[in-house]
Amino acid sequence: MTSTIRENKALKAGAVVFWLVIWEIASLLIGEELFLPSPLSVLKRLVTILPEPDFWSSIFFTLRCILLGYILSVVSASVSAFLSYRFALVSIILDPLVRIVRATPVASIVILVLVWVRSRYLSVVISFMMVFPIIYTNLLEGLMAVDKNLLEAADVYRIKTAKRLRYIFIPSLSPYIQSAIRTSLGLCWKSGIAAEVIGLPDGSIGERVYEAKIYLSTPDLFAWTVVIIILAFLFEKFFIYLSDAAMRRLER
Amino acid sequence: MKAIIDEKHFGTKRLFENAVFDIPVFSHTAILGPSGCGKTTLMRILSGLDKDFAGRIENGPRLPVVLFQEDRLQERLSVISNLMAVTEDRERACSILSSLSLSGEERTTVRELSGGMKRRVAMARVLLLDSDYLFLDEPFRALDAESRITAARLFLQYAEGRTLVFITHDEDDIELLKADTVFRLG
Repeated sequence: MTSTIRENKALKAGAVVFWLVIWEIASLLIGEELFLPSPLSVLKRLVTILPEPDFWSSIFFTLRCILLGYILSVVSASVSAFLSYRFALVSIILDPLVRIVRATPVASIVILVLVWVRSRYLSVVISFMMVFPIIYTNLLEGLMAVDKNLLEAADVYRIKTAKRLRYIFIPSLSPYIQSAIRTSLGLCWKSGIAAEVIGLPDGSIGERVYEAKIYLSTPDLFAWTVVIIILAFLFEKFFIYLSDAAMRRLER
Repeated sequence: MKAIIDEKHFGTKRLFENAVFDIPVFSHTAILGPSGCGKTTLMRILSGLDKDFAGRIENGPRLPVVLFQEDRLQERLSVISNLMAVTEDRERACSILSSLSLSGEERTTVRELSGGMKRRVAMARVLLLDSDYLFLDEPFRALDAESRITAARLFLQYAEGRTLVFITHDEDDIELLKADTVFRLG
């Protein structure tokens, strides 16, 4: 019963409407767009900026950087996790680095990275650094949890490396991969945009957000925030769809 | 094949001491005994999976095939995917599944199968492999009478010209798998 209620789409949509109403009421009570614009004025602003070429170029710029950082991170974290699983020494060497990156505030890393790289590449590096520990830790945990009985059977049945990967490791890792994707995508966006707001690369979403703040254009700030939320949502859906499709193909 | 076990412990329990197990080539050997007497440990020693014992194996199997007590299937994958992990010959895999009354289950995910069906998938995987020694640890676990007879017939076909070693609790299996050598443990 409880799970049916939790999965009810109409109720979920209702919850969104409920918060929009609260937002509208709060905005009316404050009565000052500078502090809290109404949902309608944010929507109007969004409709205004949508056809602007700068809007799309900013989106593509940020999307490209974050996507690149994310993919690089997934690839290198996967390779590192497999190496750590295979060679304990690699895991011992990487462990302090991963712990430090996890514990360090994004802002500190952003400022430090700005010293090393041009602001144009900042969100690539930051997305990479924020995602790496999550993917690495999840995959390594998954690899350690692979059923030893299956691995022994694979030895006895002389299953070769490529097939072990395809038929033992990837299916066993699937829940860990999906959990890593869900956790890391949100963080990837948040940290990537935060990096852009600090580093201000030309033509990025971060720069637009910063300009909105400088010119006290709160509806713009909200409109861009809505865009970021939508992009993060689509980004997550896309990667989860890819991972589910790959898993379904493997299961057949 | 001869296993000379001077001493073998499982945890703190001593399972074997100065024991010799002689298994003639091409024989069908049954290992019987109550739970915890060391049947699986003995089979792991004989098949070369357990090397942690005092003693030696003479003329041991080079490439043994083992049907483990647990099915050891990838539960997330389909029946056919589990078999394709050990072969490239899909047609043969389907044919063995069919002979084990699993036709039509090729695309079924293993976790959706009953215990008996999983056992038959594990058997099908073993039957796809080539080896001079076949080790079966409680092969008929979770199978009904009819499936036991079918499986026994397939194992006997496979075991022609090969050496078969199996573990069982059931005296009837000695007859079913035509054992000519029997070790009673415990």
